[in-house]
Order: sequence, then C-alpha cells, then structure tokens
Amino acid sequence: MRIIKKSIYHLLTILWLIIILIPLITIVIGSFKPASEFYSTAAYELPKSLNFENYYSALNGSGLINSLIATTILIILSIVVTTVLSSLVAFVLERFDFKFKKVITGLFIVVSFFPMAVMQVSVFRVMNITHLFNTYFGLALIYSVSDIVVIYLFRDYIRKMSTSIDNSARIAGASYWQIYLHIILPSLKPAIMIVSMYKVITIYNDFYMQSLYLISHKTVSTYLYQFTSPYKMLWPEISATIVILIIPAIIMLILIQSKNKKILFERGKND
Amino acid sequence: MKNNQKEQIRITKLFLFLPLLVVFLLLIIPVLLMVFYSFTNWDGYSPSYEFVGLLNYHELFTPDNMEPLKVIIYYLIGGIIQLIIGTYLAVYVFFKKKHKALYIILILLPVLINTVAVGLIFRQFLMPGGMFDMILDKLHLINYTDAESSIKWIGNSSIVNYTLAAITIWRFTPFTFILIYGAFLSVDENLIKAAIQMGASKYQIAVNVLLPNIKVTLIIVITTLMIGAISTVELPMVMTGGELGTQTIVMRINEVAFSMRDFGQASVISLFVCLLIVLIIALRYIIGGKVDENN
Repeated sequence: MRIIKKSIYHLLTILWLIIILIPLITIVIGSFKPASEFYSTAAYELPKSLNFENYYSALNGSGLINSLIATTILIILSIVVTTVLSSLVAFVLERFDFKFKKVITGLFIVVSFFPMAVMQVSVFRVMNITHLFNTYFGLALIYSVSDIVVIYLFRDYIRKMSTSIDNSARIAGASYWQIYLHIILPSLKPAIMIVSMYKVITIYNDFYMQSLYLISHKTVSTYLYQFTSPYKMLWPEISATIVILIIPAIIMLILIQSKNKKILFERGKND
Repeated sequence: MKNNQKEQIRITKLFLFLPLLVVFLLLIIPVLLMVFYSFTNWDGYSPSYEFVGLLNYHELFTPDNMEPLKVIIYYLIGGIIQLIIGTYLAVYVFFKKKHKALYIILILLPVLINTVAVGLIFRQFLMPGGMFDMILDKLHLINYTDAESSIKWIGNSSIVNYTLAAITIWRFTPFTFILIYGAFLSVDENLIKAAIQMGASKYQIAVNVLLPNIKVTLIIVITTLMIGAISTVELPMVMTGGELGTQTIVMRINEVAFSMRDFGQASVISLFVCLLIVLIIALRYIIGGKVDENN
C-alpha cells in the first residue's frame, strides 16, 4: 500500500512535467521540418534531418529582431518610470509628516484596487487626448499605474533603514533631494531588482495592452500575433520563431535560479 | 528646525506632484469618465451626445452581456484546478532532496513563454491530426481517421471553452506554484523539524503544518486567481478571436465600445466588472486581516 501511494506521489509530478513538455517538444520537432515534410508526416515523427531552413526564414527580415528591441525598450522604460514614481512617493510617505498624509496614503491604497485592464473604455480616451497613445512612454506609464503596489514594497525597504543616516546627512548639509538620490535610492536596489524581474516577465508576456496602445511599433507579442491570421499559418516558420524566443527565456531563468539559489530556493533542506 | 519643516513641505509637494498627476490622469479621471459616459449614448467619436438616464444600466443583463459573463465560470474552475496542482507541486518540490533546481525550472517553463506564443503552440498542438490527436489515438482513447471527422478541440463550440481553460491551467499553474512554494520556505523550520521527529508523514506535515501557516498567501493566491479569471482576455483573443462562444467579458467591453461604438453601454459593463474586482480585493483585505490577527 505504501509503495503504491509513494509511486502515485511521484507519478503525478512526472505526468505534470510530461504535460508541460509535450506541446513544447511538438514545436521543436516542427521547427526542423521543411514545409513539405511538416504537412506530410505525423507530428510525433522526428525530422528526417536537422534542417535549419525555418530558422533562417524566421530570422530573415528585421521583424523578429525589431520586435525584441521594441520589447526591450518598453521593459527598460517601464522599470525606470515605475522606480522613479514609486520611490518618490514611498520616500515622502515614509520619512515626512504633512497635512494630508493620511488622505494621500489612502488615495494610493484605493487606486491600487482599480483594475486597469477593464477600464480601457476611458483610459483609451485619456491616452488619446494627452497624446500618450502609441508611445513607449505612455504605455510605460500605464504599466506603472497598474503596478502601483510597488510603493508598498519600497516603503517596507525604506522603513527598515534607520533615519539616523538621513539625519546626519542633513546635519552635514545635504538637501533632501541629495538624500533621496544618494541614500534612499541605492538602498532600494534589492527591491528594484525584484520589480525589474517582475516587469520583465509581465511586459514580455503582455499582449492586450500592447495591442491597444502601441500600434506602430511591433513588440514580440504583437509581432507574433500577426501569425495568427488564418492566411499566414506557416507552421514550420512559426515553430522556429517560437523556439528562438524560448531559448533566451530559459537561459534567463537558469541564471536567475543559480544566482538566487540561496535566497529563493535552497531552504527546505531540513528534511 | 522651522526651516527644516518648510523644506520638507516643499520637497513633499515637489516629489508627489508627478506621481499624483499620473494617478489622476490614468486612474481617477478614467473612472469618473466611465461614470459620466454610463449616463450618455456617446459613440466615442462624435462631438455631441445625449443623456439617456439609466437606460444603459437597464441593458446590463441582456443575453449578449450574460453569455460572456458565464464564460468566466470555465476559467474559475480552471483556477481551482491550478490551485490544487500548484499546491501539490509546491509540496512535492519542498520535500524533494535531489535535483530541486531542475524541477523548479521545468515547472516554471510555461511562464517564460510569451502569451501569443502559447496560443500558437497550442493551435499547432491541438490542430486536427496534430500531436494531441496522435497521442490520444496511440493510447486508443480516440480513433483518428481524418481531419473532417476529428474532434476539433478549438473549432467546436461545445468543447472550445474547456480547451481554453485547460490551456490557462498549463500556462498559469507555475505562478500558483511559485507563490505557494515561496510561502512554504518562510514557514518556521523548527516546526517542520519537530513534526518530522514526531514521525509525521509528508502528507501530515503538508496539511497540518505547511498549509495552516501560509493562510495569508493562500488568500492572496485565491483572490488573484479569481481576478485573473474575470479579466481573461488574451488567450481567447489569440486562439479564437472570441468566436464560437469564447468571448469573455473584457472582450465584450471592447466590442461594445470600439466596434459597436456604444461607450455608454461599455462603461456600464466596465463599471460592473470593476465593482466585482474591487469587492474581491476588499474581501482579501478583510479576510487577510482577520487571519493575520489570529496568528
């Protein structure tokens, strides 16, 4: 009985890993088959030869590379905008006392409840009026506002820092602006790292906002979306494109994993 | 000191100006605009519009809006399954001694793949005569003969919503897994050691030690899954474009606003969905707060 239980325990996990991997393996197999072979052989049949033709045509033209560049710009800009806006608020709310502090604190809590994704009817209008529509900066602002909770993460980090450093800097003649720039911001580094990782994953994966607000620059998502039109279903080439896009993601994960081993994944050795 | 006070007020104004401006522009004004639109028949285009009173609100629960709302149920069920699988995997990896890192990387794999790419991968995987049909055929679960008579996993309106929910499970279980696994790591080590010394099994430790200690995380995960289900939009957009009864409520909002040019009606639906989500978040805070106190 124990053995049966134990093997079910392992089998379920293995089953899940198989479920995860099979669609991906299908894509990899497909990416090495030339179109004629792709449509005439079964999906599970291995390609007859290691044919990189699809990869050449996927990388042919500037579409894929440009979309990667566009997504990178969007991610970097979003990280900067979010960091600046959220850290300014976090610094003031954590270190100063002022008249409407409670009101403003409450305001930021209330607006963090608003689900941006369902408000496009009117956000779209505002973006149009302010000419933020179809700009990287506009979309970066939208991402920042929808991740307004970052303020709380930053506040937690600032709270843990002793105010005595601020005070002595103040006595030494530093302005608050300098304190923010040289003491607060550097101390937020770990928090900014977390935010950056989060932004990379969410923005790389986002399709909806990008399809609405960034029309003239094709990001990875909107570039791939062009392939979904039924007239352009070139499966071998699509497969190769997707494989090309998955590889850097896997490398990134392995890097993060090995770097954060001690922080993230290694505790639990207690058994 | 007086001078200091003044300086602080000046800096406060300076630092808060931009963030507040952005929040007003992109969150508060849009909400107010939505409320305003909801009483009009504006088409989102022409300079003139009329106030129509509560007409748009009366039309909220018409069948055309109810169908997309019902589609959410598929994704909610998908969310429950994600929670079960995610918890299971978190427990499994937590007790795993060897190759922990490899398991984590494999489990997280689907998160790293772009949403549109996921859509394309599954369109290829599930196409008639594709890999999935072939596997089922080899396992003698179906008998695949030709594309015409095959089960169209994406092309059949009575199946497609299940298919989409299943793909969401594939796609988002890693998120659930990593949140729960991360919370497990923060559980006091001594508790687990004590349980092991008392001869508790893995199952007993999971149910009696790990899970009760991560209640707050579980509440966050559950409410996040609910909100995710309600605001599903990307996968059906990529897989079916909202055809075959796969339109979700967010897609419906866009259709009403940007294709049917009825901003009043679209605003009412938006406000309704916003309200739903705000209620769920409020619930998260209330229950989360109570759990926190009890601990």
